[in-house]
Amino acid sequence: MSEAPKIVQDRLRASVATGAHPDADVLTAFAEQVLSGTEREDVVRHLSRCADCREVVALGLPPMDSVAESQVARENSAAVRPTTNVGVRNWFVWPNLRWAAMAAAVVVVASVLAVRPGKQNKSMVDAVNQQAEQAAPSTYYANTKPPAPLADKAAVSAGSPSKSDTSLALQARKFGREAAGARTRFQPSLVPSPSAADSAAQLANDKRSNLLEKKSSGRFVPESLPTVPQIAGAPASGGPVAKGLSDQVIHSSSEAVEVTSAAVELQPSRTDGAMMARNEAVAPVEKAKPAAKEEAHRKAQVEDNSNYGQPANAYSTSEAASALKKQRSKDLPAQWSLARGKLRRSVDAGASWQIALQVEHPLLTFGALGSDVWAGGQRGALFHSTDSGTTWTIVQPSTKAGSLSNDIVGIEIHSATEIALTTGNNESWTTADAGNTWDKK
Amino acid sequence: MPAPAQAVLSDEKAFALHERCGAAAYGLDREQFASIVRDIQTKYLPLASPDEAADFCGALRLEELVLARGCAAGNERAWQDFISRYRGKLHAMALHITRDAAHAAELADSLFADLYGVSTRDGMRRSKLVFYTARGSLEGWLRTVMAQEFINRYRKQKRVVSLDEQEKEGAQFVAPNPQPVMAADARLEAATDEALAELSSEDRYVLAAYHLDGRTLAEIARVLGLHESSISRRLDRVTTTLRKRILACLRERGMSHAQAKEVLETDVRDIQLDLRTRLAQDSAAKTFPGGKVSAPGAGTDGTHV
Repeated sequence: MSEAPKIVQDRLRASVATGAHPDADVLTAFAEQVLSGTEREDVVRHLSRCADCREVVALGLPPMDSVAESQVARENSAAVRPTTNVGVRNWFVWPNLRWAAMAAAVVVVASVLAVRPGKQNKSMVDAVNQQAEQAAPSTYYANTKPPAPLADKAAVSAGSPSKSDTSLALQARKFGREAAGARTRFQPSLVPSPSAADSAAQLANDKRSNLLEKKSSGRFVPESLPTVPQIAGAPASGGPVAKGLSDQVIHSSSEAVEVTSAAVELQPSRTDGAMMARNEAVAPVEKAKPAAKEEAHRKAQVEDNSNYGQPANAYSTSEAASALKKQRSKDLPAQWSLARGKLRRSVDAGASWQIALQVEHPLLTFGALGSDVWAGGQRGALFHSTDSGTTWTIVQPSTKAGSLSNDIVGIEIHSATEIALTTGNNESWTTADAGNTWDKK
Repeated sequence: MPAPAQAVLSDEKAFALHERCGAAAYGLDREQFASIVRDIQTKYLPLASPDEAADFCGALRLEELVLARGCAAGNERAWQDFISRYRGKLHAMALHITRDAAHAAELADSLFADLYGVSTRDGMRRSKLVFYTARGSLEGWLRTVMAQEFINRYRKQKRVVSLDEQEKEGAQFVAPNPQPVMAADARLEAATDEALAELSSEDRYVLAAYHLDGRTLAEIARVLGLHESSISRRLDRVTTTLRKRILACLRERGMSHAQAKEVLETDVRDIQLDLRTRLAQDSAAKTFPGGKVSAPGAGTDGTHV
């Protein structure tokens, strides 16, 4: 930075503003970028000559980690990754995305270069099996002690274990004893989780279990399992429970690698789970592509339960890549974020963002559940999309007493039809029919 | 020439705004609300067409305005809402401004008392919230008011210093300023003033904030709503342009290019600063390095000016 001559500083200091100081309202509006035209020019002119007002404006600036930013970050984490809110800040800024994109590119390139279809790296298999052996004692009671830090983190981020966890765990333990005395494992990862990242982490647990299963040479009887998904209440679309149960036979020792690298790509923000996943993915990254096929094959098996336990056949690398790509594009929900009052959407796991909704007044909050997206803004502005933001409908919540006219500051989506809104004056508006009728509290 | 007509917000539009912002919840009826909004409009936009007046009033932070005015009028619900929303923030703001917990508590409590209205006028409690006009956010206004209060207090404290404290700090015995302000070349001052006058207000603000106030590029960028790198580039550009303009103005005043450059580069304050540095170095060095002794009366080279 070139230094100004001292005479310039002296003459700047010597010139004093004439006239009255702008009042606090005008200074606030200036700092909030509300003023325009001559009004703004007048304020800047005054500030350029008035050290006192410059100091007031500087002191009046909110801290860098202002409430608005943290709110946006919180909303991002709530909408995109409901269960992974550990240490979430506004990571969806370009400097971070740049590194995330670079890391993703490195992982993809390394995977493509390192894949050897039909040929396994024996040393790597041994290493993974050895690791699995070490983890085996702790995974025997995996329902109470997850076997690996990854599972631990995933469980922590998913919140406290529910009742279904316990019942599932008990059944799993019982089943494990019955299954020919072998060390059969069930893990908390079998409980469904709405988060894509968590699903990846759970998939990693499943795969780890499978590795252990193979290594411990225990006989596994998949036919005795089908009742378990019903207990866990897995979603019909093939949730983690179905995944975990449908693929009980190990196909490749590199499966966990793919899952963990997927977790890295799915989560540009550095949550603990993703960090752990990244750490685990460092060594055996060469076998990512076969695992992709495994994942695609696993999905196919979910749809056809009669295929329990069948190993994957030989396949080509390109097939695996396309299967993975197709599967991801189908499975990954759009990610949403709010920046500068505009709702942005990413359909590529945060690598790029497009403005999905921009209205006259800035949007303040949003909520997303699947393809259902709600966005709220100032003065009761509420928008709803049922197709992931392709088309939007203006919704005007109203009751007999009146309509919603205050700023909408919070949106909670309990289901596709049950929505709750919070306004700036602490009103609560709820609907149980996707916005057709509303109740105000 | 007849003065332009002053248009105020129509009753119909004022009542619609009253309905929209929920002013009734804070005890403001339609007439009171319309009066408040019109006062604000005539203060900031005295000469406006009806449409401009409506646009201006529609862009105000009306929800926060009615909250503030409800508080000023002593509405209980308004105070409940205000306290639930801003009480905690006031302390956080004060801490951000003062960087000291004790002073922050004092400043926040003082402002809160002002907002509540401790002072009375004509037997009526006078709340500071009545001055909020909703051009910006209420939270931002509270920050600004608190910053003003902090600066005023800081000044008062600087002015009122007891003699004991002065004695303790040795202020009584402070030597007179060892560097009397040396007058710069009058032509240089005039040339600099002329060059500064040609700058835009924003450029001048950037220069003053950076060089006089010591603000960071990020802070300046946030105030102006620009990116930090833009401010950096602008500072470089303005400084370079300014230097060229001062040289040009000096040449217009009869100096040659070399003379103008010399006057600008070798400012008397710079010479003095160099001299002080040089003297400090001399005193730290060996008295007679290399066994050489200067001639009597000549002194060392650094002491000659």
